[in-house]
Amino acid sequence: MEEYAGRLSSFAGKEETSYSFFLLVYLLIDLSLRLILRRPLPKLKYYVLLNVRTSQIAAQYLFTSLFGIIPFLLLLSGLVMASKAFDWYGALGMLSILFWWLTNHYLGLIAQYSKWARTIIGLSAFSVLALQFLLPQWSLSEVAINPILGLVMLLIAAALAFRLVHQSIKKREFHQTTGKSFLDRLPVFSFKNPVFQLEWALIARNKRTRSNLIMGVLSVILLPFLLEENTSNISLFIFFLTTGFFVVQHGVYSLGWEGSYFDFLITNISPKTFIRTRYVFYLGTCLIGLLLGSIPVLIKGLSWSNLLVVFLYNAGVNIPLVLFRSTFNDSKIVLSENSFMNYSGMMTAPIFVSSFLVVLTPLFIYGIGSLFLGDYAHFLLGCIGIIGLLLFDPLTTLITKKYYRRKYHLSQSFKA
Amino acid sequence: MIKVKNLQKSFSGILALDIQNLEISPGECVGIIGNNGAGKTTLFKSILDLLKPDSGYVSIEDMPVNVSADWQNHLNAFIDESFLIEFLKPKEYLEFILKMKKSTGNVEELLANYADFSNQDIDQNKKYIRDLSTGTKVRIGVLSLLAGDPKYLIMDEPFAHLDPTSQAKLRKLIRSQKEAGRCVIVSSHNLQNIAESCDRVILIEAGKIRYDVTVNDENIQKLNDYFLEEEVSN
Repeated sequence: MEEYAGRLSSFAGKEETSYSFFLLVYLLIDLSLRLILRRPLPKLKYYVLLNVRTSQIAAQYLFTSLFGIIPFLLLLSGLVMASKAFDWYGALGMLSILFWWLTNHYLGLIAQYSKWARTIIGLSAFSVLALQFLLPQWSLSEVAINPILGLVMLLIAAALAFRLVHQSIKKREFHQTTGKSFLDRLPVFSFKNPVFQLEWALIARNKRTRSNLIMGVLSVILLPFLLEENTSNISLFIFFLTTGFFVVQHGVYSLGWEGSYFDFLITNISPKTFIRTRYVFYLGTCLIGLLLGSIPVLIKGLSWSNLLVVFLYNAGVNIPLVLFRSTFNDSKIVLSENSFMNYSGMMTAPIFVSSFLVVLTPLFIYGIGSLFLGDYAHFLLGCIGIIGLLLFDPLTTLITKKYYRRKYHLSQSFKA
Repeated sequence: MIKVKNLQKSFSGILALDIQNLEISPGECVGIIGNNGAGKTTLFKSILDLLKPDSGYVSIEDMPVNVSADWQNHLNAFIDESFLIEFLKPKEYLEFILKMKKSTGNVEELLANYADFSNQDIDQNKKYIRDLSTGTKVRIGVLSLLAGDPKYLIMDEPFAHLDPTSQAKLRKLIRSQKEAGRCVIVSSHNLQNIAESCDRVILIEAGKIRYDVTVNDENIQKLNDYFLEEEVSN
């Protein structure tokens, strides 16, 4: 064990405790997310009508419930973190993470069946974290790097989950299957502006838009940590994604999102109100990106000016550009379906167009600018952004006119 | 007043709508009937400026619909599901419309006023609109027309997906709107529904107005005969 701890101590040049603590925090976050962002239970009652054994249905469910993009992304990030340890101990750490990840999954499943279980699991997770802080000599964090304990817990959690699912199928007790997640329950009408409310509801209540939001938040938080030093090109690119991720991911499909209720939109909300509200909404997302991006800038001592000029460029140029381009999005996006293998609306806003317009254009401007301005080239982007913000009124008027002129075509196309 | 002048619209070279002159006054209750593809929805979409006419124009309260969107303050419409926001709950959707119309009323008041038609299930429904049955969606769409204080209400075949009880309630609701001084324009394939709820009926066939008459026994018989002749000739 001493050798084991000694090997692990070489993780990123830090102490062994920090490695196991890091993984423990990761596992607790994973568990908390599973308790908060609960996944919909499948419609098991249809399977019960078939001539299949209930134990088989339960086992099948326990297996298929594992699949999901976000849990897999979390697993991937955990495995990457665990692999930082040397030699085969790193592999052991990864194995441990895998077992604990599976344990978390089944604990999350158990929590869906009972409020009590949810409370107990939540409190236990909190207690582990609290004890780690209060009694560090107990080294509770080591459980995160113990694959044997992970495996034992996995077997217990899986057996409990199996029993719960199996019993509920036998008793014909089927829980809510509509999949109301945390975001579904958020108050949609807390904004004063109804168009803002609609925008928020659109994002929070549809799987595709929600995936964008979650990916956006993860990117905003994680991407800047990839920066090792203040290399301007890379940091500008990363900050473009940090402050403009939502504009790129969501904005380029603007109007495609509204395809299923476009006729209502155009006959009830004035085009000017719609375009201006959307502009302000995207500006808000850029601002959130700026604030979240400031955290790694502070921690890692990166360049503030790079982050700020990129924010200004996104706010003043990219948002109107994306909104203008969106008037050509004439294919509606099916909102209720997952983003996985769902290509509806994709063809009208191909990714290379959005990439060229939104990300590569400013990098090109920066490249040209650096020929003349040297180290101050990034200020050129900031200046262009400020000009764009000053031209808010004429730009939004131009976009509104375009949107209004295109409405006949859009209305017809969304019906097709 | 809604005015339609020399309105023509073709699709792929086929004339879908050809209306020389049509005027609908505030307070009127107009039923539009016709077979499938007659041009009823095309007419409604032209009034709502969702289709660009080949020629002619539509004006509401003397405002050409394609010039300004101010007419939207006077008119509420429910044509099909694209007028519903699928990811809102029924009450949220109605609340949203009330806010957009800057109405001082609230959803509870609206639902209480039309409790008979809303049937309480809309009030208590926690599902999103996309998860509801087509009939319930239509009832929500019809209720949304009553949000705010519009002069004109347009409904495209609202009877089609409703059960007989809801159809009777809708007929009653249309009559109550007429009594309240609102203009209701409703299309249907069912002449009986139109005859029982409207005081003027317009028959459209191949995009043209064939009959524009007041509702009375004689005219309804004439319209019935028209459809019978059509059936025989087919």
